[in-house]
Amino acid sequence: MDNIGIVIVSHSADVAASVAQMLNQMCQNKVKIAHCGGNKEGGLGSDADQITEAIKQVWSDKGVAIFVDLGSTEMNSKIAISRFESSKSRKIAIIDAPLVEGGLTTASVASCGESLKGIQKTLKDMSLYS
Amino acid sequence: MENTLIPAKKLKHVLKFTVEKVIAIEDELNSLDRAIGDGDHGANMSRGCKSLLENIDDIKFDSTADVFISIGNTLISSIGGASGALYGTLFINIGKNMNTGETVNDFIIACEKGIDAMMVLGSSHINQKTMLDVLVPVLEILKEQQTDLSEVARKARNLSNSTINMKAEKGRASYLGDRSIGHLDPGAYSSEVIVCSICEALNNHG
Repeated sequence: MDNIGIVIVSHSADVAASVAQMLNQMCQNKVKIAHCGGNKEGGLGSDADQITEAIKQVWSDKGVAIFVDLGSTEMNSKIAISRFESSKSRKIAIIDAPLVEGGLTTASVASCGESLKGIQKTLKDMSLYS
Repeated sequence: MENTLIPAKKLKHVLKFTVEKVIAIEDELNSLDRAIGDGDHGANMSRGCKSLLENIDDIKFDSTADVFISIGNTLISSIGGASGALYGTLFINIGKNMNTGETVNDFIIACEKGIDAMMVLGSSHINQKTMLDVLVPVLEILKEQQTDLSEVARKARNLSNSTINMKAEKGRASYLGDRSIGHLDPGAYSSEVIVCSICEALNNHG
């Protein structure tokens, strides 16, 4: 599959799974989508190990786009990215956009082969932090 | 080995003493976090510390660097929240930067690198009502060659209390804006307890 991969990370495993379900419908399974949420005990939170595995699951040489909700999902995603060699980690980006809307837009354009850089450009108007 | 910062055996004692102190304040941390966050800082810290206790015999207390890296990895994989990511990054980076030597000076330099890594991860700096409001000034005190650990602990307590009047600019407390003023920051308090416990453990068994 010559499309970027997408990882949905939420504090809640249910939210992550449901958002991924919506994305899958949007891209008609032309994009690999992984989701994870919550801590290892099944409570709310985020887990760098799960995020690392999710990135591996959807790995594409074209890159991987990660969508997060609250603070610790971003921090644990950064830790997960740092575990990859630089040749891979530079192709993984946490996208500054809302989880649902950003994810849906990405699934849609990624299924047409858009690059990671192109996606970041497309989502610039949705930015939450800059 | 005289120049070694903390002999391995003592390090195990310091770790055990510190994690037990943090576990003991679980309810207090939860209630501070309920006021301005999501109420789980105590549960998260306690889970991480219990995991350290369970795995303490698997940690190789031969090199200080490896001990800090093990502590960091355990916290990251067991806590599953911002505190695990931040404290984990702190300890891993202290460990990684101690491979050149294990003197007090090496430790202080490594702590500075560890705190820098925390700042990058959290995109934060001091005066934002966070752990950094205790850790950064404590590091400055250590850099001034302060060797009286009771004095370091006393300052750590004052620093944590100084977050009461701050407005939160990071984490979920920042959603509250001015309403976060008047509350002790739970992250600053856990940092205070960690610093004070390390000082106490070193003083008692120095």
